[in-house]
Amino acid sequence: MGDGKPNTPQQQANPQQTNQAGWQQPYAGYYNYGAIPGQSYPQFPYQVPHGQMTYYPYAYGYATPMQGQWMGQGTWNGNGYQMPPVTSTAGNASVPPPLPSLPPPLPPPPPPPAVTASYEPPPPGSIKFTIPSKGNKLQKPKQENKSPGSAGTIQVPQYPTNPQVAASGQQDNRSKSPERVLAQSKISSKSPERVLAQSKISRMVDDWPPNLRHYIERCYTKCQSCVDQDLVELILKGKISSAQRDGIVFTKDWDNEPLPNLSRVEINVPTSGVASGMKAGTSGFSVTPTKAGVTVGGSPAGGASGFRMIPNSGQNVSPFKATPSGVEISAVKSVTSVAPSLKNGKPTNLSNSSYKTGASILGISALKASAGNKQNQISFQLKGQRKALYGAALRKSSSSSSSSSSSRSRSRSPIRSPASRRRSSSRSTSRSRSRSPSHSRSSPFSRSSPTPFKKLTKSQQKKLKRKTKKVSGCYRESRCSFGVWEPNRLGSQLEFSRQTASLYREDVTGEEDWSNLLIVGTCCEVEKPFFRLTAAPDPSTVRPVHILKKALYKVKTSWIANPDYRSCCDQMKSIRQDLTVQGIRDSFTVEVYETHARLALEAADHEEFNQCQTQLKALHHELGGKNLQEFIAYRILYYIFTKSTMDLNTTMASLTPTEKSDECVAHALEVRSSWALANFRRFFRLYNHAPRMSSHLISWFADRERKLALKTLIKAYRPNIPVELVTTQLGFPTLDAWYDFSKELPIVYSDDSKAQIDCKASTVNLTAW
Amino acid sequence: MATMNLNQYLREIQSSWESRSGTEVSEFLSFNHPHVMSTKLTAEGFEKSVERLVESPLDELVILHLRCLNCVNQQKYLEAYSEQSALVQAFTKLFQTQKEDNWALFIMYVISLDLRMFAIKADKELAKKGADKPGQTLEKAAECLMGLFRVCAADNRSSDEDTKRWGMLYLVNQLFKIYFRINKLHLCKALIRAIDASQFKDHFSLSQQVTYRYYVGRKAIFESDFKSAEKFLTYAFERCHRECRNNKRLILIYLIPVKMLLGHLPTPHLLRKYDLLQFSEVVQAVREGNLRRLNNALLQHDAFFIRCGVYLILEKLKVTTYRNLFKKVTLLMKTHQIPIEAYLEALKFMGVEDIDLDETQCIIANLIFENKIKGYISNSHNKLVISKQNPFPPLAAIMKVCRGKEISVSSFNLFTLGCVDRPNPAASQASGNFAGEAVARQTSTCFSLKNNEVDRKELINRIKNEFLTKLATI
Repeated sequence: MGDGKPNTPQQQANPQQTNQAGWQQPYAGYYNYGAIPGQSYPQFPYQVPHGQMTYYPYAYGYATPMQGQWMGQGTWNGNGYQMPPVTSTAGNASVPPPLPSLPPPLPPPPPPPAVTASYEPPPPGSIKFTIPSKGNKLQKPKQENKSPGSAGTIQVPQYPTNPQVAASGQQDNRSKSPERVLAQSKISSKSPERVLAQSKISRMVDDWPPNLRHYIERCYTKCQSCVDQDLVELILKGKISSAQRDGIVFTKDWDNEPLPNLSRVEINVPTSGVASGMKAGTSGFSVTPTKAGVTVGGSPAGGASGFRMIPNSGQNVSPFKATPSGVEISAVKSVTSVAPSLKNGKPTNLSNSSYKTGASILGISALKASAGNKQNQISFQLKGQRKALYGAALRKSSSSSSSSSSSRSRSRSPIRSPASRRRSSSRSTSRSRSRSPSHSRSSPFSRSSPTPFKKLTKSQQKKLKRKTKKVSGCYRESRCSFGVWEPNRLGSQLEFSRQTASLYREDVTGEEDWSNLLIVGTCCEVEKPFFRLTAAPDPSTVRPVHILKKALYKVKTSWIANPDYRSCCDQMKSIRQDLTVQGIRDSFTVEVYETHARLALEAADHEEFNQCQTQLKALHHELGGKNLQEFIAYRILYYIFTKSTMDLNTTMASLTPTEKSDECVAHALEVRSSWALANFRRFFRLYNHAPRMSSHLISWFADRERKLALKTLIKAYRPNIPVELVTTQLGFPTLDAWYDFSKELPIVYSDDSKAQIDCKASTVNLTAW
Repeated sequence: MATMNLNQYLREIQSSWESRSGTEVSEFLSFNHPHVMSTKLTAEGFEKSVERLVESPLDELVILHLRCLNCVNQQKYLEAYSEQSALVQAFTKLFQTQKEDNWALFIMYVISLDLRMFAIKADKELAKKGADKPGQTLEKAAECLMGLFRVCAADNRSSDEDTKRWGMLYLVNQLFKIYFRINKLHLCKALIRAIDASQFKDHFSLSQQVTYRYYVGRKAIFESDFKSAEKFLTYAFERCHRECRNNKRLILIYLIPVKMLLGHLPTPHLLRKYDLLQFSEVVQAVREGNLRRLNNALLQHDAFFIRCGVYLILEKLKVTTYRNLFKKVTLLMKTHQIPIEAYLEALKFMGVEDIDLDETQCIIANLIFENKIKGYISNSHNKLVISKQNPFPPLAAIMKVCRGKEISVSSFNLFTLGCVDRPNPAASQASGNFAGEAVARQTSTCFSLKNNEVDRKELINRIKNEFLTKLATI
């Protein structure tokens, strides 16, 4: 990572952490599955339990549907993030395995924070808390897991942060969350004690400083309904537990702590939260959870699932309104916040704590919700039946599909005791992993308002579908589950369908908006090693254009001075990455890709060349460029190399007369023609007179063609064929080159000086090559 | 129908749904049915009426259909596509719950067809807006259809009459159409495997089988598997309904080049009948061994050929043309040891630029390698030594040997292809003047022997004047 700056120690640590922990994690998860199996494995154990949790929900009872949904999400996030050390590992070498940031993308957090900001409920804190204890239990296991890695984790927290930032101030947010969460965190940290959670909480309450108690009272007085109370409870828990974790419960200025904003929650949370949550959930299911997180980061490449939703929510709720720019800011801030925490040597970053808080809050709410939801129960049963039949498929579907099922399962999971978890895990690991997270998320949303929830579900479904498709296998199953569910769930299908449709459209727009979200780098290091992003990009590790130009120049000169392809390729890839991340597509981008393509040509790096030429195809199409025709020629030659007749055909169809008359293109077309007709004499003559760098490309498949040509010659000539003729026909520059080429082949010479090939004798061996 | 009002429409669709009439319901959900002309169906607030008159699973479909209709009426194809895709997805779920039943297959047919159509239009709309990814909507549509396909393919518990697997081929064809359009042929493989493994492989409806074979044949062409391409395309061409001239023409666009490559030239009559005269020059040039003419013909229609994706195959006909040209030269020389220079002169005469002896040898070597010439090159004498017996075997015969399978000559009744070579001297004598009008009478065995005879004389005259003296001196 490039960190030459003043804050070196911190920043260095930070960028990495941030990347790995929060933003990158999501990605990491996504990529990890495929790319780094070994690393990803650690995740599984953790995730599985979560998934399993889903099954248990019954025991805990269903809260009101709405609550259940909320809780599910919140809980899951809080726990899930912290716990699963898994994800982060893959991407980051730096992060220690235990820390691994959370695999699951955490979509939901944002909504809760918003709530927090403006909320104030009056009623009974102590009583309420008891209920949450269950939630705590659930959370605890997760938290425990997380705690080791928590420090690293963190970018996820950003979500919550952003909204809060808008409302109050970053610091405030932080402080709040930690404090409230305290209770929870403590509980969670001590797994054995979980059972006693309720009692503990009450005890703790006694220990709390008076100003904190006042604060809690103030919050509850603000409540107008039991729903409000639940919310406040959640929020408070989050704040306190996080404060506790950070050890600032007694020092924090509770008197000035902003009260949670209840009114907002109701409206906003459902939409924004749900949407994001749903999406995240979806991703969580299939390997993709990470992706959602990435999106959030605002990376252009990301699916944008997590992120998208936010904009919608933003419309409704002022705190959430995150314009693209807002997002950027938040990301940056989070980074900075991390730094301090590191300095202190605390295990958890500030950002983390805030994040956790949000999660914990959600979790609490989820618990309550679970208690009340009857509808869910019904649906759930159906689900269960289905599950038996479809197994894995159902899970996916359930998560995506629906609110009802998901909420239940979610809510349960948090609550579950370790033992139950184990059980569940034993049942089916694979399922539980992906599924459980998503379920929990979805549930929280439902709580606030049923309708929005439904909508969300739909959107989720869609997202899910997409993701699943990507994932491939499970796609179908999810559908099945859908079919099963919907009828039960919805009173009237009509409504459902309508909502779906409208949602669908919204989704689309959302995507577009967010895809335009780009960051601007601030890193001033000229050189930076390539590192595949596993989370949203961090502006402090991304170089702006003027630095990139220097970097490119440096690579060029170093290549000339010392053609070390590996290091140059590495540098070029990191330049390309920085360009992509910042969404820069101009003539400089073209130059970068052209340069890299040329390097790859010289080094015979087929894969990199293909990547570059694919990009160049699009870039040249958009921007033109003086080397456009040259690269068309390379592309044609590359297609010959890969023998892709289809692509050749489409490329040729798109050529204009002026392009055809270009020296390079005309040459490439002639090469193609001679290759198609097996006119090797002409082919090799063209090879020896190739313009620009075409000969590099042709050399990739020259020997392949030589073999074929030699076969032809041996079959056609009798009785002998002079080597001299072969060398001219096959375009060997020297006799040595020929002997070099032929030493592996079973060629029989008719004389000792090896000047004549005995064709008949050699023919016998022809079939062998 | 065209003036049908909403209530009527809803009642009819509901009653046909209740009677489980797949065809009727499908008509009411199709955009190829007159009801779409009615402006009354998409009046404000139609959702309420639908809710009132149509029962549960169907109402969702109807609403989506009407919404889609509304978008289409306003020419908003992007929206129309998303409605239609929601419809397809809703139907997929519904369809899956209908166990042991496949009467809704007809509905699936129409909605998936409409889905593809709207995707195409939506892509056009996007292209106008300057979207950089062509075919993105089609790709999404393909995913939708894959969902349906999975439902169908997975239904293997139902009895043969009731299984949804009968719908597989239709969906595969729709997917083929999409994949060919967006150039993703590699995605076809799994589909082909699924159909091959199906026990109904040969029992699907004929029209679907023809379509299927057409695409599989085209795919084989791109993989240079001309043998199976010919098999599939011939099947399609012969079974295609006689009224579907345009379809037959489309098939011919691919069948003709493949057949020509395998040694069977189409008759002018066939080309005229299907308006494929672009090929006629190519055919003539190949028959004559006239490279110059072939090059001109390819150049003249290259846009058409490239667009159809047959340019690269037609280009391979050059090899056949070389063979025919060399055969003529050989006949002229009246010996079985021909100096390479003779061929070089002929090539130069045909306008091949900057060619030298080495390249001529290379071309000949290739012909020998492909068994198109029986003989060998003697480098020390710089001569081509040909077999005294049948040095230029008929292409079709070579292909037979190569393929190890016999070409079904009987399948050419419609195609009326001519063999490049004469089968035997007697036949060549027998057939009189080979002219356009005579072709119609000649049926499957319309060999172009006579033609060769004529060409040879013509060529002899030309070549004699041009370079016979040169040849003699060698």
